Order: sequence, then structure tokens, then C-alpha cells
Amino acid sequence: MWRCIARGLRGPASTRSTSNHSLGSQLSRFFSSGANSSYTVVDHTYDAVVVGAGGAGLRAAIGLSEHGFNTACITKLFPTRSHTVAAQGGINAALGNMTEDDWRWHMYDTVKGSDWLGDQDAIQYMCREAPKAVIELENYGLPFSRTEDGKIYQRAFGGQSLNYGKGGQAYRCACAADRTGHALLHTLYGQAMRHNTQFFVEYFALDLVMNSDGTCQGVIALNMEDGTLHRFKAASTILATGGYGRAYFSATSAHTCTGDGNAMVARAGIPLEDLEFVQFHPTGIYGAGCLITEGSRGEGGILRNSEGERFMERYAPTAKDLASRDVVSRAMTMEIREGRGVGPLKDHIYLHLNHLPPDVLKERLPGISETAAIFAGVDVTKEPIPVLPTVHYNMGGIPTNHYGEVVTIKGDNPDAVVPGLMAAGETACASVHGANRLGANSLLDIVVFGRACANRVAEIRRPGEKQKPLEKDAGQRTIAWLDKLRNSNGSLPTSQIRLNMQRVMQTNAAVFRTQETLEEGCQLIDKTWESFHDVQVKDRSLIWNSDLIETIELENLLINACITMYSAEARKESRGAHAREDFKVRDDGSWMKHTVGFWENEKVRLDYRPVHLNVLDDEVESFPPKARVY
Amino acid sequence: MASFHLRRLVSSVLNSRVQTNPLLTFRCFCSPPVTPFTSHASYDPNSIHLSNQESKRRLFNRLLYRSKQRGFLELDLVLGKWVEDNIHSLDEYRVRALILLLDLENPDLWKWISGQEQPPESIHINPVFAAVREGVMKNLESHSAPETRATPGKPWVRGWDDIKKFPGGSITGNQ
Repeated sequence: MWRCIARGLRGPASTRSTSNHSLGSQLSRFFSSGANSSYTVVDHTYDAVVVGAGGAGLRAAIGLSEHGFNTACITKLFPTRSHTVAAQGGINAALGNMTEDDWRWHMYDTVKGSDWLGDQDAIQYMCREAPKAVIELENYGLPFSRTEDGKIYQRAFGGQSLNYGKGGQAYRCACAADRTGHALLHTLYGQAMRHNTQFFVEYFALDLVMNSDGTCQGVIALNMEDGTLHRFKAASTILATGGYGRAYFSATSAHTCTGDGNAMVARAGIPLEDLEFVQFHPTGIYGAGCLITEGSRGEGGILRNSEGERFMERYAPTAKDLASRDVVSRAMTMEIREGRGVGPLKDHIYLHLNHLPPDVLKERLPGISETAAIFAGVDVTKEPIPVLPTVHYNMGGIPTNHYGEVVTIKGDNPDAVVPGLMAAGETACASVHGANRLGANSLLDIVVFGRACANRVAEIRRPGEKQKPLEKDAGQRTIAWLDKLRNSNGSLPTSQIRLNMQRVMQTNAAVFRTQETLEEGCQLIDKTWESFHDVQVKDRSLIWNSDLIETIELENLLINACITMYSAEARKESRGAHAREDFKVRDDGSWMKHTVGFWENEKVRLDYRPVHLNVLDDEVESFPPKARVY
Repeated sequence: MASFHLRRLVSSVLNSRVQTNPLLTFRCFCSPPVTPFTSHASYDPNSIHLSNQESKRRLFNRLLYRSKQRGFLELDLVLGKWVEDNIHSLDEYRVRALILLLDLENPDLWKWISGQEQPPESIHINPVFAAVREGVMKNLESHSAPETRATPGKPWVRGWDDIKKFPGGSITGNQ
């Protein structure tokens, strides 16, 4: 990576003006006094600001613009580069195009899949709105695949059933071939352009601007192109920044998934909810994270440890390698922890496909031998593929109600709305996925709650209404923090601290959880956080300083990682994706509640808020908890 | 939308060849350019200045960022690594070729690089594309027996197969 010692070359603060043509932006400039005098700050005012230009952010921006709100969208990536592009499966909606279907059955499957940690009012909202949201996308021009008679084609997904689990397989997943996420991004992006959303591309959102009464008044962001800071004042701020998969060593997420919105919220004193619930796929390629589909085990692939043993025979005598994802993932992790992993660090497992006939690999597992060759350098006819359990989704995030409003605990009220702040998509926790996400509900979540945020703003605000001025010191603490980070003169490179964090999370807070592993994990992640104080940022520039950006992202990931670890240690039950070896049953009496983790003075403080078992109205009845056998 | 890309790309490649340096105005992504991006709108890939150290640092950091942060894991890994390894040895022509490559759409770019689809001619002759693809093809030739691979130009259908419906396979496909 390019390194430039720019300190001696840096002149006075840039006097270049930032071009901005939006009528809604009131351009003003001032230079901060004192220690931050080298920072140029530009102020903007909008009715609403969206952070993140993936599926949820774009959908929120469209809705806001359709309702007449002057809207800015801040994104660190070009809009169609969001990780939403990678979603291939489709969007769940009970359209009934392939068989009879009903949104209430979809709701039941979602509640069940969530292992009853999902809020049933929000789940009802999502499943009931799903057909409407999909039809809207169709009207925006999303090129859904079609049945022979022209209806939207829907495919089957695991966990989807008819008639409350009694009616067989549901075909509920509306798709656009194998690129639904990409098609969604492009459709929404085109629509956002049509509605005059003002995009601020390659701006890195740093922090929320909170005023002294706890209202969110906007965000402060860094323009990576010219190094200027920008305060976006807005009556409504909507966070849509995605998950934090990169906190773990092995993740299917793109490298942009660094939990920035989560961390902004945590730094603002608002808790993060249910971070202990992280979904894993058993077989991601070691070091790369690309998935090797479960179909490989379905066709006869075998997992082996360093002793060459087919260890799944011990853990699941009947199903063996065909056991469910969580059983396979935990078994793999136990083998690794007990020293029977493979590789120099003994930290992964081998997936053998070399005994399979070549035509099976070609016809029934297309792409597997190619993926293994490109990302692992392995010939699957001769060598095993190195794999380990890989983060697929973060169920937890910023706590919201079913309108998309961010909520927190305030006195006796566990659902107190934070004025001016909303969240949608993977960064949010509505909580519709609860303890485990149902396949293909993630794109639905993105669309429904991006839309819900916009609709809610339209209910409670008016375009162009007068906003309270920012407080005099708004953003100052953030600028001081940025300055301190930029001038970090420690001994540890960002990449080293990041890898250490990722290994701690993978070893101690992945799929094998006991009091011992989690207690150790809390100590280790604390040490990793402490080591961040010794971080070294070599590049001092403000312009395209990827060293600085990665360091900010690392702090963001560390906050997510710490809250995840402590939340998992505290939950002494097994539920959904959180499976503990020492508390094997779900304990609804003690643990039917959401974990909330505050980040206070660089420490995690946990509290809890009740799960919403209530529904919104009499269109459906609440589903009482039913035992799940692991 | 694809034709819009191609028109712009061909125009740039042709201009590059005839050694002129017109100040091309790049409009934003969609046909109706209602709102310019605050950041992208002003960017002109023809104004590359590799002789100035600071502008070179900025350009290289920008290109590295956009290469490694595709939002698509496969491209983060393949393209990001190639650019990280090679950017300092690129001449101006190849830097311009990289800029054009970064403008392409993720699913298309991945299919072309991995040989699942034949790229348009203008992409095929892009020297950075050719180099990245060569690296991928070398890996495939070295580590993937031809009889286990999809036919070149055919997509790797992953996760489900809506068309063929293999007998004996799961209803929910190969998830």
C-alpha cells in the first residue's frame, strides 16, 4: 500500500470550495478554532439524511423523495457497490404464484425460525407488507423471473412452509435469476436518481450529531476525496449501513461490512441489540470466506480432521455430514478447539470431494471446483478444500420498532423512541430475525423497513419544516477524536489489531460457546480493545487516506465485537444461532428478552428489554412459544 | 444500461488510442442526469498525473479503495489483490484501463473474469482485464480438472437450479 509522509508537506487548510448544487443545502464554512484548526467543516441542511446506499438506504431515500422530503444520501461506496449486490436468493413474499400461500404462514415460519426471539408485531408488519413491497418493486421495473403464465417466479427455500408448518414446502422466494440483490440495487438506484435524491458518494459517516436533549440532528462525515468534514443537519436520520461480518476471521460479507452505523449509535450512548445472534454457514473457504454450498455434503462430500477421521460420525451418527448447519458448524469448531484442526495453525477443517465422480462435480455442484481453484488454490479431484464456519448474517443491530424508529431503554420505558433517528436493513434490529434469520428474509427486511422509515417520516414530519439549530459544539468531539486517531503514533499496525480481533471472535464467539470460551473471549477482546490505544496510523493526510479509513473501521468493528462477546457470555441458554454447550435448552422463563449492550467509557454494559409477543391487530393471533429440539 | 456503459467505454478507449486528450464529460450513471454526485461528477479519468507524487498517491489510494471495496467478496479478493500487487508498476495507459474496469457492474465483471460469460470486445482488449483474467485462468488450469468444470462461457449455477431440476435433488436446491 502506498505510504506518504505528508506532515511536512501539508500546508494551511484547503481553501478549495466544495461544489454543491443542491437548493436544499445551505453552504456555509467555518474553521474550527484551537487544536482542530486544520479541519474544514461544511454545513448542509436537509429534511432527511440517509447513511448507506445499499438496498435499505436506497429504498428509504426513494420513499422520502416520493413524499417530498429533500433528502441526502451519504455513502462510502458507489451505490451499486453495496454488499446487497451479493444477495442471490431472492425476496420472500406470500404472493401465492406457485401454490396457495398466506402471509400469516410466512409470519409463522419467521417467528419459528427466530426461535421466538423475534418481535411478533414487527414480523407481522414485515410479512403482511411483503406482497405490497414486492409489487412496488415490480412497478419500479425490477426484472423478476417469470412463470410460464407471466407471474413472478418464486423458488423454494429451507424453512418455508404452508399452513403453519403442516402443509409442505412453500414456494415464496421471488427472484431475478441468480442476481436478485444486484437487480434490486439497480432498480432502486435508478428510481432514486429519478426522484432527485442528492448523493454524497465516498463520504465516510463518522458520527451522529446528537443534541443535549437526546435528539439526533444529523451526522458528521468525511469527504474522502478532498478531506473536508461535512455536518449534515436533518430532522430525520436513517442509518442503513449493513452488517459487521468483518469482525470475524471468516465472513461471506464484502470487506466494506464494518458495522459503521452500529458503532455510531453505540458512541452516541444508544445500545445495540441482540448482537450475540450471528448466523454461520459451515463451509466457507479458509482465508477467503467464499461459500462452498451445502450441496457438496449432500452429494457425498466428507469433512475430515487432522487425523483423517470422518468426525461427523461421532457427532451425528445417523446424518453424519448431512446434519444441519448448526450441528456441522459446532462439530467443526469443537475439532479445531481440541487441537485436531488442519493447517499450520490447526484452525480449519478439510472438506474432501476427491472421491466424487467428475461429472457429479460438474453437473450437480457447478462452480465448486472453480471456486476452490481460484480462492483456495486446490484441485478438488486431488486435494481437500480448507473450510471453516463462516459468518453469513448478523441478526442483531440497532434496536428499532416496526416503524423503523430507533428505540432505547429510558427509565421504565423499554421502547423509548430516540427522536430523529431511524435504522433499516441488516444494521437494524427490528427484531424480525430474532435469534435466527429465515433464508431470503434479509432482502425483504431491507425493502420493507427502508420503506417503513420513509412512510413514518411522512407521518410525523413535513417537508421543509424549520429545524432547531445545531448546538455550538456539535461535532467537535468527533473532530477531536478524528484528529487523535489520524495522529496515532503507536506501535501496532491496524491490520495486526484487526487480525487479532478476528481470530478472537472466530475462536471464542463463533458457533461453539461455553462459559469457558466466552469468559476467555471477554478477556481477550478487552485486551484487543486496549491494544487499539497503541495503534499506528502512518499516513497523516486527510485525502484518500485508506490507512485512516481502515483504522476508523477497525474501531467500529471492535465496538461491535466487544458487545457481541459480552452479550453471548451473559446469555445462559441456547436459542437460535446462539448455541451453548453448557446451557443446552432454550429458557423462556429467564431469557425471553432482548439483550441490549451499551458502550460506556470503553466498556460494555448490558441490560434487557422485553420481546414483543403482541401482534398489531386482530388480523392474526400471536404464536405462543413452542419448544425446539436441538 | 449496458449499452450506455459500452458507448462511454468505447469512446474512452478510442480517444486513448489516438493520443488526444479531450475533456470528456462523464455524466452520472443513469440516463436522466438529474442530480450530479458531489464526488463522482467532477472526475475525469483522462486527467491522470502520475508525475506529481501527491496526486499519484491520491489517485492510487482511490483506485485501491474502489478495487478492494467492491461490495462483492469474490471481486474484493481477486481484483483487490491484483491491484494491490500491481498498481505501482502500472503506466498511465493501464491506469486508465483500470479506471474503466472499475466502472463495470460487479456481477458482469465477475462472470467475465471467471469465464462464465464471454466479455464484450472492448472489455476483452482492456489490458488490466486481460491480466486479472489471466491470473484467474491460470489458477483454474492449475487447480481445476477440466472434466469437473463448467463449460467455458456457461454460468456456475450455485445454490439452486430453477431450470434443470435434477432428479433426487432437494426441492430447495443446492443451498
